[in-house]
Amino acid sequence: MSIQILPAQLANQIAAGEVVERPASVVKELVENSLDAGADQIDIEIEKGGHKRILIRDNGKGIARDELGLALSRHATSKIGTLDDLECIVSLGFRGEALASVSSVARLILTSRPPNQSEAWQARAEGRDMAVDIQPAAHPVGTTVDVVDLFYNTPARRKFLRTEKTEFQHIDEVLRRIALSRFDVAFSLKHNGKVLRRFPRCNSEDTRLKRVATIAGNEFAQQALVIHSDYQSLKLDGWLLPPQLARAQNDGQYVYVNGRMMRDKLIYHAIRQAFEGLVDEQRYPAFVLFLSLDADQVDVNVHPAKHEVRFHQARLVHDFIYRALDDVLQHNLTQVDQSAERQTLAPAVPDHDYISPLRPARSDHQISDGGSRPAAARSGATSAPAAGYSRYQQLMSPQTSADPTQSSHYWLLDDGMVALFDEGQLRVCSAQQVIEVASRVPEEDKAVVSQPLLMPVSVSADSGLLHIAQQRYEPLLALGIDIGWTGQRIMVRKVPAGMRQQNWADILPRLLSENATPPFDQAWLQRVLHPVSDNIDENQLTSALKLLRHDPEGWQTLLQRSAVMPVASWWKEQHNNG
Amino acid sequence: MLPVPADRAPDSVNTLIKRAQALAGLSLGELALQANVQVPEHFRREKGFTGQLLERFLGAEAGAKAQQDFPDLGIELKSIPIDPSGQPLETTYVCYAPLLGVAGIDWASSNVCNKLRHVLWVPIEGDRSIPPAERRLGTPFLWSPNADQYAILKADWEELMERVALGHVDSITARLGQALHMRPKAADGSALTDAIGQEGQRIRTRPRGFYLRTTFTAQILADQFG
Repeated sequence: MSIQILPAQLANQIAAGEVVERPASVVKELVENSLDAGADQIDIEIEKGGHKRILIRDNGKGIARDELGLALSRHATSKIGTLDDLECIVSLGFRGEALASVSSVARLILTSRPPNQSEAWQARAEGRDMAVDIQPAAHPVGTTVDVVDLFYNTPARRKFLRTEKTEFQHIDEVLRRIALSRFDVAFSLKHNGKVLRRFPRCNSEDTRLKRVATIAGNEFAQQALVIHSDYQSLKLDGWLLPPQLARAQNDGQYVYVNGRMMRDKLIYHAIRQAFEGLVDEQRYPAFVLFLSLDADQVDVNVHPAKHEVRFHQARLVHDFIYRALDDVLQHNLTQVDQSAERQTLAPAVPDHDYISPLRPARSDHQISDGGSRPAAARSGATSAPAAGYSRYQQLMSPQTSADPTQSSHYWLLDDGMVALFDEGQLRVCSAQQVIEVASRVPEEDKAVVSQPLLMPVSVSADSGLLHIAQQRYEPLLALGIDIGWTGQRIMVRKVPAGMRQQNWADILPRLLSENATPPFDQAWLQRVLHPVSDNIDENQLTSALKLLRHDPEGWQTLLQRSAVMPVASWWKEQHNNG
Repeated sequence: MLPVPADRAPDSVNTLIKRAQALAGLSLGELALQANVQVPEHFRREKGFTGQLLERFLGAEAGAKAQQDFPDLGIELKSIPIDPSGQPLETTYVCYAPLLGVAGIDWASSNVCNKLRHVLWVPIEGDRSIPPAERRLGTPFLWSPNADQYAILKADWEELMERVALGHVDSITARLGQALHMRPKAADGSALTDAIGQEGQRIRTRPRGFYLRTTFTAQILADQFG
């Protein structure tokens, strides 16, 4: 078979598979449409359990003549217009599927008259393309949907239909559930011409309780505990039967989320948890509960029949329902009179005693719940070492030859000597002298910032070494090196910033060498870190020279210590001798 | 010059830090000698030894396990075993994970958040080849989660606690959670405790604890000693 677009009717029939399961689902979809249309009187007439006919008449705002055709097409709705609307559904329907789906699996006649139209019009869709035929009709303000011969063209579905009685019971149950959600609307239900249910509008607590009694039973209405609870923007209202009156069947369970009837797992989980241990395993608690929350906190676009929803803050909603019910049940257990006043739940605190209020500690260790302050606090705590480190990095960064004014100033010669070029003169000095002079450049250019070693380095010590360590503790500390000792060991705990990667296990014995003489200053430290015997590290030399170039005094000192190479006289000598 | 066990709780963060830093580089053997206690031969049975020894030198309030170690300062003490390259050797236990009575508890009031607000980390050599008495303490440091770390911990906690509250505690594996994870706590797998089941009923399950992943603690160490 080649790929082809499905005819409209077939597409609608497929969609109907999800939404229209049995006559009761048709009733649910159509009554919800009536409610969304603002009706406050809805009459339902059923023939033969809905197999033969389902007729819903309302006094809602009606559908204009021009829109009747659209009303019967799929993906046509007045309830949402943009994706943003989907985030915040306040109507019961929104998918724009119900009428089109039903009319694809039954003979559907839609008759409607909005208040501003003097006459009513009637529409029906027929054939594989669902062409809509519109005729004038007589009808009061409002809409009637007449559904005849459900599943006449889908025999497979028809086979699943139960007896008229069973299907009617399903319809009755749907109406009871809807009636509980809208006390402000009057409903009537006829079966085979006989009025079986009549729910007048309720405008007082008494009449509301009467409707509850009709639907959930007299016992329920008389014995039920009232619940009015809120927490933040969540509200839970309704009634629940004390646990000792739990029923043998689970037919007394009604839950609504923002007026929409629901069998949601999360909600039932919370309810079950609240009744845990209070109700016998074999029995079912009975309740009528209305949960309301901001429409943007709940996603109803999960299930075509909308039996389930997704809460953005699932745990918050779950815990609220559990705590609200638990509250009422515990009150009931302790026989305290339940006041009809709304209960606002206090924020929960862990029932352990280990939360001690934080004492305002030093500000650089304080953090906020919002999580915005820690960053600032942290940067405050680390800025000093970080700054020191960057200074040090600057100091130690190797000179790049890309900078001609810098690179042309010196050459490191093979024998550890340095040739300098200064104001037209060639000078030489030892590399060690450069390092030493650089190390005397005043302190502010190399602020001593200590950083701890993750694992302090230690050497074993005899009493002689220990004595030396004690003597050098202060001067070393001034150089950024924090040493400590135990009976047997001397260790380095902190080192100058940026020098953590050095091999301190090798350096420590040299710092404690008995041959060293005061002053124990930067120059000495540099000699210890970079012993003369070692090959001079070119990077180190570069840094030292760079430092000196920016310190006129230091540069002059270096020049004084260096010798001018008498290039001209040497040349003459060579030339004359030659 | 060797530190001695503290006779009272530190009265300020500074005192605590000073006490802690005096321990850097010392071995458990040296500390035990000072405190006049015996270092166990191996840590298999006495896992809490290091922590208890540290508590004595720092003046932590012993006893109430669920409380912060320095409640007046709001600081929690955590020792962290590291390998020779300075990497954490194991996950860090934070606290017991409550499986009941959790309704309405949010992150900010949770004991995980409470404990991780301010932590005094004490690195310690944890390589198995080093006998306990010779294991040395690294440099202790005070830490608070930065904004990113805080957000990650919060998200992990919320995801884990949602499963606990909604009755899916058995679906929680140690793989769940970027920085914080939850896993059975008891050494002995037969211990059981009450929890919430899938239908809202009571079930029996193994007790759980919250742990910090080594990737997370390694980053904390790297930030400090980079």
